[in-house]
Amino acid sequence: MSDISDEALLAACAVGDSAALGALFDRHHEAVYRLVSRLLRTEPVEIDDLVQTTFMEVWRSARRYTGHGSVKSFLFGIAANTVRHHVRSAQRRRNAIAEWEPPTSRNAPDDVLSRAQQVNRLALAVDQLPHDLRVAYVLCDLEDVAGVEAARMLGLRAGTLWRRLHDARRALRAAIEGGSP
Amino acid sequence: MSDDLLEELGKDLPWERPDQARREAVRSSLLVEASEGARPTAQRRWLVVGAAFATGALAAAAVAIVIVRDDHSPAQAPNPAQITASSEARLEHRVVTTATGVDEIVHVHDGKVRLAVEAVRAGDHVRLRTKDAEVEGAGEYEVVVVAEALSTVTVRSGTAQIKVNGQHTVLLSAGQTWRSSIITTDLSPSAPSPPDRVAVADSLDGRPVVNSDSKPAVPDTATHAVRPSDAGRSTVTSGGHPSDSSSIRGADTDIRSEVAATGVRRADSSTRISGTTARGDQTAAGASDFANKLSGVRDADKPAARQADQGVQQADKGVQPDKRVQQADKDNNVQSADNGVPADKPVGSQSTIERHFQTGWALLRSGKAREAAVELGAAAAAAPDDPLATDARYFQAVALVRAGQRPEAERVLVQFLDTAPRSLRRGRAAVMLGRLIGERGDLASARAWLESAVSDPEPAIASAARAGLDALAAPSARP
Repeated sequence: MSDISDEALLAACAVGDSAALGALFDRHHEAVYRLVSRLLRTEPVEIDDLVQTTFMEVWRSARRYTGHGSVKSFLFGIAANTVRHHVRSAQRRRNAIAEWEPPTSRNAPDDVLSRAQQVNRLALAVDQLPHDLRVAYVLCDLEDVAGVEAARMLGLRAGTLWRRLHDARRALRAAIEGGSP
Repeated sequence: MSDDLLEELGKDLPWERPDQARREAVRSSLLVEASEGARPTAQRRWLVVGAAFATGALAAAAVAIVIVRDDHSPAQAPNPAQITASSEARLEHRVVTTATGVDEIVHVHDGKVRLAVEAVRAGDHVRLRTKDAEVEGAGEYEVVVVAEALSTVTVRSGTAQIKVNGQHTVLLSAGQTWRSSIITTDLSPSAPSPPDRVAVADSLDGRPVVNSDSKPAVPDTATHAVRPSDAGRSTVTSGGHPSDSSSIRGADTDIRSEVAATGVRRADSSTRISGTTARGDQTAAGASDFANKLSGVRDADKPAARQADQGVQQADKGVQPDKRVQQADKDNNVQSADNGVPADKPVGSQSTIERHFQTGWALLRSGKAREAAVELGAAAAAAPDDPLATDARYFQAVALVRAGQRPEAERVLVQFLDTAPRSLRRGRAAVMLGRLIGERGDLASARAWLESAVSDPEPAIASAARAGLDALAAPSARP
């Protein structure tokens, strides 16, 4: 199925072709894993569940894809919504944050260590962002989704998304430069 | 700090990259969930609405007919057909006026449909059609269609007549179940219903191989050939050997029939879940035909599947160059040997494990190894203690090898060997496992598995194991 477009695979999903779903998974699971795990720090098994739920939702709602935007954006929109529903449980989210320990780099040269520290601070700061700001930052800055497309997939006005992205960047910059947390 | 630097730092943020095992687990679960009735929402909704509408319309028509007939021609019977479709069913319903009356046709593509047909007027018909068969009944009967092919017909009340293209008509009465061969979708109607264990053997590299040299299996004493010359008097049982409760349940037409002079088989109530057995002249005449057809199916394999096979075939070179196991399985009673389960088991509706197994087997035959692995894995998981689960595991491993998912294939083979140490397929699985392990460089473990198959009663397996050991001993195999 390597020569079949994403759009064709999604259309095949819409009529119940599970092989097409498998092919979509093969093609995009890494991106969805990356997005989901950056939107929510939690146990690997929970990430697996969220990724599976995302693709199941893609399977169920494949008919809703209208051709506006790429299939990857469609997937990301569903993944973002799936995670958003998941984090509604505040307790679950608090537990996830508490349990996560950022990776550290040992025996690294000073400049690399410094960068690693910055990344660690950034990771913690991202975790502490309000979820809406975090989604905006991860989608636009880390996954390079165009702002207009991200706004559409999240059901927001473009201005709202830009404001959230701006707020997210400001908070993250402050966290890194200020040495906190 | 600039936005660019912030973005650059962000790219280094860790993320949860799944390893192969996790990825495959999620993928398998996803496909199983998708295949278990979770059709796309809109379509399902449409089907439900369609089915409800059809049912309502038919009910209304039935009521109207009853009222009209009561008023004007009470002697004539009404003609209502109630259709109840599962949410997964795909069907079309149309009513055609013919010269003799009304022909009501329900064309089912997939899924389970139940028809309740009251007495019909002379000249009227209520038929259920699939791509390969037609069912017409009076009373209540339930039909399962898989991939456009008629899979099962169960009569609850009344009778049903089944016409599979190119085959004799079969008449069922209340309480009886007809089950098609699981390879129906791969064969033209004129082909025999080949017993998988007789005409087809699975090669050591996981590719099913047709045993074109194999003699048609001799019908055992409980199974008699269906010969045209017997028409009119022969009693025919196409069920399995009493000791046979093997994995190919559902592969046969589970009917003990009498061939009437008209060629119509009348079924009695001795429905069985049967294993693969010979089908007399059908097997004899059709074995090579079936071989040719299956070769055609194999030729139609997709490039990816071919690559997977090529990869395995390369591994073959070290073990058994250009030689496949052209040997028919003699293990009609494998499951009996493995599990000692009773042979006869009444068939009600198809169980989950049987459904998954049949679908997986059909997928494997049609070259969709990856999907087949998912289905067969679901079959094994559905009822791990069921005798069928053992074979499901074995064929899941075969499918995984063909799909190039070797680590997963290794895991399943180990599980198979753990759970079925006395299986007649044990040697075959051990050679396959030894080869997979050898490929990734673990020569000691590979040697152990191959050595365990050297004394296999099957000469071809023993020979393959020895050849594999020789290959491992060759200087090029050493790290």
